[in-house]
Amino acid sequence: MKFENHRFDERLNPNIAHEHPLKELGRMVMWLAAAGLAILLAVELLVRTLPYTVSLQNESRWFSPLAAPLLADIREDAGMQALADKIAASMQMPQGSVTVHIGNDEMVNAFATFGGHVVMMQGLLDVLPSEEAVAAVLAHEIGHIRARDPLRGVSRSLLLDIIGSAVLGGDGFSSLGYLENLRYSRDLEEAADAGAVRFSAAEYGHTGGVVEMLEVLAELSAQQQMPAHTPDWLSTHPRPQARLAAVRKLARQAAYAEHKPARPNRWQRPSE
Amino acid sequence: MDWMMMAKVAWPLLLLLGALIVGSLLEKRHYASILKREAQLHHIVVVVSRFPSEQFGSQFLVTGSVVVSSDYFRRTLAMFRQIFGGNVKSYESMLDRGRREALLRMKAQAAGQGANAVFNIKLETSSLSQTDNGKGALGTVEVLAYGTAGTLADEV
Repeated sequence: MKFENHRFDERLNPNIAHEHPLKELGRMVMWLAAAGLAILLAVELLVRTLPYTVSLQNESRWFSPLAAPLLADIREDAGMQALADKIAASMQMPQGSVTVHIGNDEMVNAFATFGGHVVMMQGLLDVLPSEEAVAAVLAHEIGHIRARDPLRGVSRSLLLDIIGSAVLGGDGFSSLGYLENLRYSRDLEEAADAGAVRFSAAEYGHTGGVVEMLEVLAELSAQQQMPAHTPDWLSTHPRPQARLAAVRKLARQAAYAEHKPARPNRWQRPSE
Repeated sequence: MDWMMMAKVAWPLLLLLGALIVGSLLEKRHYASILKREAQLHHIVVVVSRFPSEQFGSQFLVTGSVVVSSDYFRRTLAMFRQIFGGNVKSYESMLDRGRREALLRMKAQAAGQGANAVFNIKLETSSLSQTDNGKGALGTVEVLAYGTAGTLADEV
């Protein structure tokens, strides 16, 4: 028996891949992107259809416990509730679908959360000069509730959270803590502003309150030196200036007047 | 602000690209060296059989061992493979080089001690990865080749 080793042609080496690794990576990245896109589309489809199948009353009944942490340090206010009821009625919403609270918080913020709850922070009430401006903020938030934006936003962030944590690990409820900062698309914000414009015109005969509210916000964001160079289309919250322009355009088209608001803000604490 | 974001996205991509380029270059050079030494040591016969039929004198143990690691790019590729499943191609060439390097070192040892054949070859691969650190396999392996070297009388 003769023992010898043969050479073999390296190009035919069966033990290694002869494909360029970048090709393989490209293929896998493409499939991942496609899968991610499909998931996002499915989520989007769900959140754009399902919330409308749940009535505001049921939403309030089922989801209020989830909103509990957001409604911790609050108080009720009969006058504010009456104003909210008036706005809701003017938007053809069923009786009792909006509950408004005043948050004992210095933050300049207001938010609508699922279950038809609106929280107006005391910090915001202190900087709004008139009742008309308060009504504008309230109408904006109630507009969100009417469009079912909070439930939609919540279901979206929860779904993405749960899917993300299933893929990457972690607990699927980390977004629950940030629900007061739900960010809506520019379209939703503009629609909510439009509701505020219509209510102001119907209730007070002019749109000065909405303008005043946006001017206050513009001034505040200028003080906080928000990155003004961020283009609008990159930001989910349109800048106050852009909102102001949209609101004025809307008022012009509908031939609404714009006066200086005359009613005092009853919820403002006297400044020292 | 925007620079930070850019850097956050660009840095891993740069690392990946760098690892791909450097890794491929080193792999190419390693293969060139493997082919060269395989030609040099071709006269050392390597046989898996445990039964040399001839007179096989002055037997002794020879070993060749090498530790190879995958580069960042190919590790990332393997991570993607863990999602899809299937053939982890990015590790194949590393293992192929590891096996051949181990055999070459074993043959070099045999040649250095005057043998002309190695019988009963065994190859062993063991992972040196710290798995389960949440980041998957590290892609480092030891390949060990060992066998019985000796002098094979030429058959006439």
